[in-house]
Amino acid sequence: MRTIFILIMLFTLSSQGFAQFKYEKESRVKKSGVPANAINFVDSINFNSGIKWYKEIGFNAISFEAKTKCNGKKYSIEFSENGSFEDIEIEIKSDELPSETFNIISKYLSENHNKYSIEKIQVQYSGNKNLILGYLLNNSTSIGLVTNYEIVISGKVAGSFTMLEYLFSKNGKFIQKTQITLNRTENIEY
Amino acid sequence: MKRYSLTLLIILLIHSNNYAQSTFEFGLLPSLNINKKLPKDWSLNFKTESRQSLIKEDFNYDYLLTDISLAASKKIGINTAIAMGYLMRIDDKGVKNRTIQQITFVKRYTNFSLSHRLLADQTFKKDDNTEVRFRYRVSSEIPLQGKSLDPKEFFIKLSNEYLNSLHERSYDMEIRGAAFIGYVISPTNKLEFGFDYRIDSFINGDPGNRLWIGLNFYTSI
Repeated sequence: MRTIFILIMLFTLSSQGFAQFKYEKESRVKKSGVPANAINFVDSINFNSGIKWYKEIGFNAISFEAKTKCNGKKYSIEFSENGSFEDIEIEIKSDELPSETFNIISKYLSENHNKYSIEKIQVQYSGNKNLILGYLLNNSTSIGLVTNYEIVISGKVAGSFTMLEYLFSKNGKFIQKTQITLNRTENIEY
Repeated sequence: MKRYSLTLLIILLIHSNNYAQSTFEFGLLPSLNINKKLPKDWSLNFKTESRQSLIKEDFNYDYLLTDISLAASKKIGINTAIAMGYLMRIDDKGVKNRTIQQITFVKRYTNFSLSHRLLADQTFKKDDNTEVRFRYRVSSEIPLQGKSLDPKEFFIKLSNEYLNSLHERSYDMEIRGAAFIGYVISPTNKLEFGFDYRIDSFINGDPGNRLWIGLNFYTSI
């Protein structure tokens, strides 16, 4: 019985040595490792809770992300590698979308998926960073901002359950769709 | 106050250990998991695990058993999967056969994943009555270097399981608690090292305590 176990282990481990993988990596970073202009932008908003900074190394680009909570809402602010502002995303509920926009988005999703459920909705603001800062500090309206909605759904694609990230314009027009790669969880299933 | 509570707890533990005829065993529990994804949300899981005793009263190395199992799983929702499997246990006394049915719910939160597993198994052995068990396990996987678990990163895995066993009209409960530190070698390979503590026979008998050092390797092909 010991021989069987050892043989199976050796066979599997020896066949692993040649595999190579590409990957995306996201990890927590200290504030000192973040570009100063990104820190200045976030500090000027005066969030009333702590900021967590993350560095994301993708296939083609590196970015920084600040995450925090404010008035019960989750905020995520993304910057380029050199600290230039890219966008801010705020998690919202479906009833916080304009009803006409939500109806158009729902119709689009229903037409493309037999069955789906919404996992997360974020409103995404991008464009001029001073306009966004003004809006976040309640000094101006969202007029002039580029407003999109990022919606994560779970549903079936080609007969398999998966998660998809959709981006819609503020009028509910489809912009893009990305399939989310789910981390493997066999080690907490078996 | 804290010191007083700690002293009291230690005295109570020593006191209860002196009177209870509990047994203690310490050993190794390495395992290998191979997973294969199939079309239409089907997957196969092959697992082999060995149990080796190092201490039982005295230091004495003893190779106890080898488990070999194969399970077929089908996702029935984004977070839910059902599985059926067969396990063969080989030890000095012969071979035991076990059939397994399970349902798992895995929820991915922002900073960790949580899994609930409900499992039923039936163990058959020649010249012995069938043992039936109903088990519940909660497990969590917590990334240590960010909000999601990426390759080349460490994580902690914690789990707690309750096993209800019926064998020859006798009921027993076993409780398991495990704490592992893991490393994601690549998107398809994970390695875990830690402790797995198990206690049984504490309802109607002398408790049996077992502490295993676990080394688990998970791979997908």
